[in-house]
Amino acid sequence: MEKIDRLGWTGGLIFLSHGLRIGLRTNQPEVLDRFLDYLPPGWKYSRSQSPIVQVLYSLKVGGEGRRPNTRLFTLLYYYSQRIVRSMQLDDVFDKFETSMRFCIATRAPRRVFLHAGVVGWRGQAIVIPGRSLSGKTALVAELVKQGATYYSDEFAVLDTHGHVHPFATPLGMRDENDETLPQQRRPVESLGGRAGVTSLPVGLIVASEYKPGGRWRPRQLSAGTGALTLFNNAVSSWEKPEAVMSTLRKVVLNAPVLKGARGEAKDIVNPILKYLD
Amino acid sequence: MYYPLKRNTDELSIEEVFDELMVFDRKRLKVHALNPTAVFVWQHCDGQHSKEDLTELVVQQFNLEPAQAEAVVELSLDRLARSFLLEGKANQAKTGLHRREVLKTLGLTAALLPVIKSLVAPPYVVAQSNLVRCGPNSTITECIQTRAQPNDCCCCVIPSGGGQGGISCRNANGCTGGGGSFCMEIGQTPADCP
Repeated sequence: MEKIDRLGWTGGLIFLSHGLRIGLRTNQPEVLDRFLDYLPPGWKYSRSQSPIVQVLYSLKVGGEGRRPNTRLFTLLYYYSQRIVRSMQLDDVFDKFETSMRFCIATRAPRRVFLHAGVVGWRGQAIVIPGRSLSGKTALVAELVKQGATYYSDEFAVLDTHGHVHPFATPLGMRDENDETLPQQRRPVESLGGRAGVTSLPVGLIVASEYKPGGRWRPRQLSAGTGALTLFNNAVSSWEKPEAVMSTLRKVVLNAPVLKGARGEAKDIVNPILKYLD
Repeated sequence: MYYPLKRNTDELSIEEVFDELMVFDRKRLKVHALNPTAVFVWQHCDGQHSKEDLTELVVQQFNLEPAQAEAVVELSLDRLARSFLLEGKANQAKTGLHRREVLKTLGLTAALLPVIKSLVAPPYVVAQSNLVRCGPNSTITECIQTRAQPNDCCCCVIPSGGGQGGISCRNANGCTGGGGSFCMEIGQTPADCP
């Protein structure tokens, strides 16, 4: 770490997100403004002047080398570990964003992060747990088009009471014809929706997986099995299993867990929303 | 006479969910959901009750015929042993009984049969695994995910087979110690190692 500390940092910022104090330093302060677009939703500048942070990222911007016809890589460090080495600054930003979200999800105190989509409806949250490519973003997008409030298409952020907090990043939509293409970011406003700002109690959990031609005939899981299903999508289940189980218990005590295969997202939107009407 | 005894709860985290239980096994990094029948039998596995005593308790609790209760106890002990929730050699409790067999021959309703659903606590896999590197401040997920070697950092490793198993903490200076609960702390640093 000491070697990295000597690399000549000339600018930085400290921000707060979900109870974590995160620092970012760079050798080119002018790139800091671009970083702001990649910070987690709901971040705030730290008012404290203290230089002590819980998580530290360091960005060494490359560019032209000292010798003619040479270029230097841009490097991104997480503590002392180099996590990106690239000529493309955008590539570095993308990876910084992914790394930082993962870091917050595993380290945030008093928060449990589930890999899930979340929307709000009639004062309650609908949580859609699922891994990548399980179709949760498509379902979230359809629910938003029907008037649900957007909370997240990536993480359900639960507090110790089992309430969900917004993590409203732009929706990562995949190409319907080719899922291997990278996701395109779409702000929720482009779908005619709006993002939630307050925490909500969980009213319904929909554990569905897309299957072409599938028909939505869900069965309600017992509370224990439902909690197990959610646990399977918890980000920090290895770090703090007790906190995760305690939070999930509060969630499943109040919200039914429906499980089943589904076909097209738009076909199950009304049955889901009716559940909370 | 076999007196089943439930696993030492120091290695387990338990959360009641209505009449079911969620049990996290810190040694094996597995989580189980026990239905009410399995919970009832497991909670009475205190080393004081024999199989026959448990059968008697099940008769009273669920209002079953003795033959049915015996099958429920056998099946429960078998499932608990397979999930490593009982002390001692698992073979003592394993019976090889099948749920379908019990349902068919004894006319029990499925709801009365013990069910234990288990899964390995998921390592959160970031698609681009190079985004997380094991370092002095790594969390257990980061370390395990990157398959860090014990001396790479203050991290948690799962020794393969034998010994105490489970989790231990080490750092670049080779200090070791801690155990499950220590490793579960978030944001540990080398200085945290005992």
